[in-house]
Amino acid sequence: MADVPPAETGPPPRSTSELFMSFAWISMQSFGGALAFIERTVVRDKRWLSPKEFLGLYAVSQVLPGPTGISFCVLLGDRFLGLRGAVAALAGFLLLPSMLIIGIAALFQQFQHVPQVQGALHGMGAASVGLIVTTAARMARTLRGQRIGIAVAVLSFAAVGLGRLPVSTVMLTLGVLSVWLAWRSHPQ
Amino acid sequence: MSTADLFALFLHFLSLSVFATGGAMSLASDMHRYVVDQNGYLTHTDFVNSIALAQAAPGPNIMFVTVMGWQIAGVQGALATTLGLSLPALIFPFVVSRLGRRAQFERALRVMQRGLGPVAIGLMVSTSFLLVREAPGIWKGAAIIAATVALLALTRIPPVLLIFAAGALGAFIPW
Repeated sequence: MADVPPAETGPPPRSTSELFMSFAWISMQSFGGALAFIERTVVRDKRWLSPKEFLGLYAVSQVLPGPTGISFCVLLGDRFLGLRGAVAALAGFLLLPSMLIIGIAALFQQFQHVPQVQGALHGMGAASVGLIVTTAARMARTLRGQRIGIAVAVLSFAAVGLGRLPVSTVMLTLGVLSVWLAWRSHPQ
Repeated sequence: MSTADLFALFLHFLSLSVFATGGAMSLASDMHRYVVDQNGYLTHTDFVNSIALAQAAPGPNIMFVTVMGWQIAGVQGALATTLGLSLPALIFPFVVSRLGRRAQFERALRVMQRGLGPVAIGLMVSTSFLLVREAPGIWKGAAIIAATVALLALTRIPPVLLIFAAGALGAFIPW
């Protein structure tokens, strides 16, 4: 692509199968979030994106509808090989881990009447919750000193966590309001 | 599960995806409302199990949605939830790449990021709250959650090892 500076990046992916294989490799290494593994492959190993380009694409993926990792696959695939590239990257990212996880889930279901298996799942579930709590706390800490941001986060939690309102309702009201406030506070 | 229910499941996850900001886990509270509270497709324990299995296995975080769908309606259910959450992403990036790298677009992006970030944080806290409130075995679950949080804060042990350790521990204590 013309907009890729030659100094920081290597040759772009040549084929849809290269994209598919790369994202399959990324996803099969990913534990606890794929971001770090995507960065390692795309920026350091394959050098398809410079670190700055990676951060830019990641920012777009966060804001766009859809889970961040999914949007990133699609954007990266599209950037180099259009719609075919987007489908190849997404399929690579989802296909193998889906088959693997369904196999594991089926295995656990076979033995779910065994008390030890149930207990193991309870234990793993609790540790997973600990992981999610930690992630939430790390995210929340980034709000320090931002009064409006804190107020929006508290309202978002009150609406969804306490009030059990649909995410769609919250995004269309609080989300829109919060983006408007962000725009107002930095008009330039 | 009837075809209509399956399609409704697909549509629910599709609509969730359109409003997603951040990762799939921030949507878990809404998924729980639909799948456990409203329709009773899964128990709360099934719901947490899908998260536990997905966190313990390799793959992106969104895999818990795949397990959830599979638990509800087999492979068809897994396709309904996974594709529902993934397909909207295939459409929107094309709009973006047509807008290109215009300065105005970059600015809009920063504003959206600043505005939506706090909402996403509130959603992630909601997910945590839901899962902590109904932790298994009351104080045993709470103890494992607290120990995991402490170990993640104080050590550099890879999270997946903590999940395996908690699984081994859970297999041998009475719940």
